[in-house]
Amino acid sequence: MNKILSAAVAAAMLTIGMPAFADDGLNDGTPPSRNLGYTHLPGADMEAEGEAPSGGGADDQYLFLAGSSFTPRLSSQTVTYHGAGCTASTAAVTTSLELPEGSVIHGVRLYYYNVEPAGSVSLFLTTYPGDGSSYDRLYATGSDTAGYVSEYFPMALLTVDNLNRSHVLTGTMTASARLCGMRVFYAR
Amino acid sequence: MTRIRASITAMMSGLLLGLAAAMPAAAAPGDPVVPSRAPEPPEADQPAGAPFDYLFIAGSTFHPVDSTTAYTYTGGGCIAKTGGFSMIFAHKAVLPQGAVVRFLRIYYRDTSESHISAYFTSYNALGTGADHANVSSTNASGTALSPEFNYEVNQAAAPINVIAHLREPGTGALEFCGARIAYEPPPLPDLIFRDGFEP
Repeated sequence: MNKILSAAVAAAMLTIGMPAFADDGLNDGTPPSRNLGYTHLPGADMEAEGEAPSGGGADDQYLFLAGSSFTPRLSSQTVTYHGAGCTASTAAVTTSLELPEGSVIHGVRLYYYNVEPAGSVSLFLTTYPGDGSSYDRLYATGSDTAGYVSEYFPMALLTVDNLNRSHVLTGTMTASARLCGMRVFYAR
Repeated sequence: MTRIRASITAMMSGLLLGLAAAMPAAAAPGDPVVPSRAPEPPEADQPAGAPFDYLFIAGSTFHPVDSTTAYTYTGGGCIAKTGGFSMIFAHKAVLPQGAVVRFLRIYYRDTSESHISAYFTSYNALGTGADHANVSSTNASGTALSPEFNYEVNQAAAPINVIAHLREPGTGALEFCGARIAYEPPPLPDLIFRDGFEP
């Protein structure tokens, strides 16, 4: 009996001591599912099973940015958070891409949610030298409609040059689609 | 008639002599070679030997710190304030621990009588911020560089923002296109003896 009581007290103490986590923006009290059933389309950035890059190089790196960390480019647009790091907006959302000098970018994997016709989510990787000009190094549009999807887009190799240009990721989407993230595949 | 011809000939001769006098004389052999103008001085944030690393942030990735601020994207990575009271736009500066920041450079298109001012600012998260450098635009399109400063990054002590004040009250004639931080990277960690000598 004492053992049962001790266990109950210990459990209660553990519960009290545990931090309370936010519900990730979903306010219905139900913790959001962490397994969204992504369809990971194959790409050069991963093996078919979705882990190691197919190149297998020791220098292969990723930078994975959530869709909800992208900010609106216009104050007039609306942004809606759908949980799980996914965002929807009526105009382009953007974020700074900051990688080590000399890194070589191979491509970007786009994570999105789409059940509408293909082409509802697009990504841009653009460089700006600061003089008002711009260079789209990668423009791609999601081709899948299976719900939560990740799709890899290779590009002409781009060497990071932080002295001469900024690097920016931008996402656009239709009303019912969501941008859930971008994962940059690069080598150091 | 002959007198008129003689007068014209004299006038032409005088004109030719005058032109010849106005033309520069050919350099005499042995003259020192003088460059047409002094060579461009190197930019202070791009010294020889490339001691700096850089963080280059496009203006379009900055965001207002107040939701009442209206702004628009003007292309080329540039933004312009179009309304609202607050003029402050911010972007976090994530730099390596131990890096020493030396310069802040801004890029802009400025056809306004107002200016963009940018700041390299750290906070103690207790209500106090410190501006370590500032730089302002001029009435032109281009770039401006802060004076050299000295700020050692300590991620445990203070977050850092680059702040841009877009003072133009809504005409869109003042576009902020980005900021570039020049910093000395921290020394490489001593990994070889980190765990001591192997027995």
